Amino acid sequence: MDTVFVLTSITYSAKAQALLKQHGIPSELTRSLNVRQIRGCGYGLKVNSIDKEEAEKLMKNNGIKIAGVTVEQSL
Amino acid sequence: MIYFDHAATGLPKSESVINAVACAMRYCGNPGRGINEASMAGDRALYNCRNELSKTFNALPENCILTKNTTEALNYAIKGFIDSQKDGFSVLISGFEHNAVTRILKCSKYKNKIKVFTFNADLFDDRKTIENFKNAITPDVKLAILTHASNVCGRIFPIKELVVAAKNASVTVITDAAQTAGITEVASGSYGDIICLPGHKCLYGPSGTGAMIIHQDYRGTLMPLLHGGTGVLSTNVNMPDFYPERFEAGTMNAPAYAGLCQALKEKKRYDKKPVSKIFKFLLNELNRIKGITVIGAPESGCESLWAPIILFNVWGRGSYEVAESLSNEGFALRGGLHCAPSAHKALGTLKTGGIRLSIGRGNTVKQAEALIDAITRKVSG
Repeated sequence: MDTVFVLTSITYSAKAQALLKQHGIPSELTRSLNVRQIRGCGYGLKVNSIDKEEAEKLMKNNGIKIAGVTVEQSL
Repeated sequence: MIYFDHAATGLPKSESVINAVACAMRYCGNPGRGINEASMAGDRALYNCRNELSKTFNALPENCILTKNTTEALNYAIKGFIDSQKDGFSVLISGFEHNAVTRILKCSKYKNKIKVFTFNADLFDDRKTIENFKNAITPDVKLAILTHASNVCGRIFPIKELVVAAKNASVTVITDAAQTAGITEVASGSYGDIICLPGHKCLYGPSGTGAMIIHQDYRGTLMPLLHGGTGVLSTNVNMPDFYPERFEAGTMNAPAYAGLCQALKEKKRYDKKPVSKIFKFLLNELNRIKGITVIGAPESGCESLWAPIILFNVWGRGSYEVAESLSNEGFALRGGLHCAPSAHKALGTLKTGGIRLSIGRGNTVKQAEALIDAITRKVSG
């Protein structure tokens, strides 16, 4: 299972993706049903669940608000 | 054409900036409107531009609001601030404002809400400017709108010192950096709480680009001017309370900002020394021509306190007439009041206006020599 962080806007999603990439954490943008259920028009950033804790810490330390967290099947 | 009108817009744009725009026009969909590849290409174009702006002007990427020019940025900043204030208050300005500032402040909508005072920036003595500014700050002053450099005569004012004085008095500073972004240091925080700048002048980005840069420590609330779709929080009837979406409604011009991003990346490659050399050369030559008055220019040795802009008049001839005559010979300058009657009033040229030449990337000493020859002919002819 992958972890999906629901973020408030595409700008924060892009910022988060760039930040995670800098720290070697791959991620993917999504606007799946799970994301929309947490935040209607929000953007999700999907990471491997192994990276969940570090990704969350990085985002919080860099002022990126996390609106919610959900899980999705890995492809 | 020999172009000496960089204060209006920077030309030429580099091939890589043009290519960045063209490429984005082929691939960018509407940013922030979906997860499809075209929309995400648009997202990347906007984010990359914000990222470059954030590195250049000392701000968080999300605090770099993309606008179409400085005027739009100033409208967002000034109106956003005024509309956020419950009670009436006073505003300080320098006396060298562009109409992008004065027309907002004169707007009848704000007649009963704000009082505007000019603190009188001194053209030649920074100490007087700073003292006048400090003396003008009274308890009801909540906002100072500072012109970083005059678009008419080029004088760069001591913004950093004015911002310190404003901060000590809890006055918000909005800085008009239209003529300094790309020429001299501009950074959010030390140069103002909110910086408004163009992408298309001395950053050499495409026309239709600019930014409002909000410093991360600015805690005030700015009311949005534009209301519409943002791609997020669609069920909320209000504009988002976070940046940049609070100020960016509707479809964003992703190709233009792709071009601005490229322009910001390549800015460091350009050497500013040729522009300084040509500025000094033209000042010296124009000052030597009998029949020319140079207005508001630096004394020898003080050129670094000016943006590379020179205002002059030919005795007995109108500024529009001379500018048109030079244009017929292939020289691009600008005559008239330059959308800044306040500045002309401060310089004593409100009735005559003036001919403005502004030096930038791509200008050469040979071009400057040719311009001097042409101007000399206008004097004798």
